[in-house]
Amino acid sequence: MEHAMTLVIFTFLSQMAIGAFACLFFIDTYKEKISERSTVISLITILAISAVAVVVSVFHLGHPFAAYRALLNFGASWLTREIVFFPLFMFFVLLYTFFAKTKAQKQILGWTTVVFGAVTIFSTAMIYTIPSVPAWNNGTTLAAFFLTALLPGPILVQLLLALLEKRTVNFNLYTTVVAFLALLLNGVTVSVLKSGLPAAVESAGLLTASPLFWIKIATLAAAFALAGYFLLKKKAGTVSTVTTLFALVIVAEFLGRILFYSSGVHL
Amino acid sequence: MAKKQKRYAFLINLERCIGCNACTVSCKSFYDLHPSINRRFVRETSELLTGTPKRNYISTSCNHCDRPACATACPTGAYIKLDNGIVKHNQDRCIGCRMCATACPYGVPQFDPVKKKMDKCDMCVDRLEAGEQPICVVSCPLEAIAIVDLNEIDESQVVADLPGFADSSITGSSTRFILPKGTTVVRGGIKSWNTL
Repeated sequence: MEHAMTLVIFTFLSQMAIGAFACLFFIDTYKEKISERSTVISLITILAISAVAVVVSVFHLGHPFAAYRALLNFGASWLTREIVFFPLFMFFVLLYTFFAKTKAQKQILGWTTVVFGAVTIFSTAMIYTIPSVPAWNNGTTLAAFFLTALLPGPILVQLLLALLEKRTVNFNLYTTVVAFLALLLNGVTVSVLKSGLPAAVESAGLLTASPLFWIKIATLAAAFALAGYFLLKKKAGTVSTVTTLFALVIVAEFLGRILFYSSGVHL
Repeated sequence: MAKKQKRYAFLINLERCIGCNACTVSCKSFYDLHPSINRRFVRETSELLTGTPKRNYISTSCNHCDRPACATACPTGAYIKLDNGIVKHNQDRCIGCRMCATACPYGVPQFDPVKKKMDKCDMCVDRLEAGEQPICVVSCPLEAIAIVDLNEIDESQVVADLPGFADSSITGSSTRFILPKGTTVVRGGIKSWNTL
C-alpha cells in the first residue's frame, strides 16, 4: 500500500486521541482532582490531534472533496462505520469539554464518548481483518489497534498534566503492564503469522527482516524498563521521565503502524 | 413459467489459452484504458497443473463473486451485484479510497491515476444486454474465453480453483476453468494422457 502513510498517521493519531480521552475522563471524573484549566487544555489538545487525523486521512482519497460519499454504505462497509463513529467521538469530546460540569454530566457524556471511541477502533480493525491479507486477518490487528489507544494515549495525558500542573500523575504500574502486553503482542503476532498461509509467512519474514521492527522492540523494551524502574523505586518520575516515556512509545507505536501496512502481503 | 434469471460467469479453457494477450489488449483498446490499467490479465501458471510438464496460461479478470469483497469494503456503495451475477462498479460514486483493491482476494480493482478512481471489468454488461459477447470473448483467436450461465453449466467438467489463484470459497468466485489435458512424450511424439 504505497499510499499508506496517510492511513498510518490517521490510525495512529485517532487511536492515541481515543486512549487519551478515556484516560483523562477517568482521572477527571473518578480519580484525582485536576484543575478545569488543565482538563480543558488537555481536551482541546485531544480534539486538535483528532482533527489533524481526519484532515490527513482525507488525502489518501483520489477525490478528497467527495469524501462525504464515504458515508453511504453504513450497512455493509466498516470504513463507513469508522467514518461515522470517529466524528461522533470528536463531537462528544467537544460536548464533554464545554458542557460537562457536574459528575453526572461527566459520566454520561464521558462514557458515551468512550463507547464511540471504542467502536471507532473496533471498526478500524475490522476494515483490515480481511481474508485477502492473511497477516491482518486475525485477532492481532484488533489487539494492536487497541494497544495504540492504551499505551501512548494515557502517557500523552500524563505528559500534558505534568506540563500543565507541574506534578506527575503516577501511571508506572499501568504503563509497565501495558508496555509488557505490547511487547508480548509482537511475539504473538510473529508466531501467528509463521503458522499461517504462505502470504502470512511472507509477512512474518518481512516484519522480522526489517530494522524498524527491532527498533520498535527496543523502544518498547526501554519504555517497559523505565516505567518498571520507577514502579520498583515507588517514585512517580519527573517531567523529563514522562517526556522520555512518551517519546519511546510514540516511536514504537508509529513504527509498528508503518510495519503493519508495509508487511501486509496480499494473497 | 417464469424464466430463471441467468447467472453470467467467465469460463476459461486452459487447454486452448496460448497466452497471446489478445484479450488484455483488445479490452484495453476498446475501453481506452489508462496504460497502467488492465481489466484482464494473462499469466503463466504452474507447468505441473496436469501432473506432467506443460506450459499453461491463465486469463483472468474480475471474478464477479457471489459475495464480492469489493462491495463490502467500498464506503460509497459504488459496487453493485446485479441479478445476472455481474459485479458492476459505478465510477460516478467512487472516491478512489482503494479499499476495494485491498479487500479483493484477487486484487482486481485498479486505481486509475488520471481519473483518480478505481476501475474494473464489468463483463461488458452493455454489450451483453445488446445481445453481443464481451470484447475479450470475441477477440480470443482460440475461443478460450466464454460466457456461461452458472445455472446451466455442468460443474463436474470445470473447476473454480487453480494453484496460485486465491481460494474461490472466500468470496464465491464465479469464474470456472477447464483444465488442460495432460501430455506425455512417446518416441518423440506428443500424446494426450486421456488417449493413452
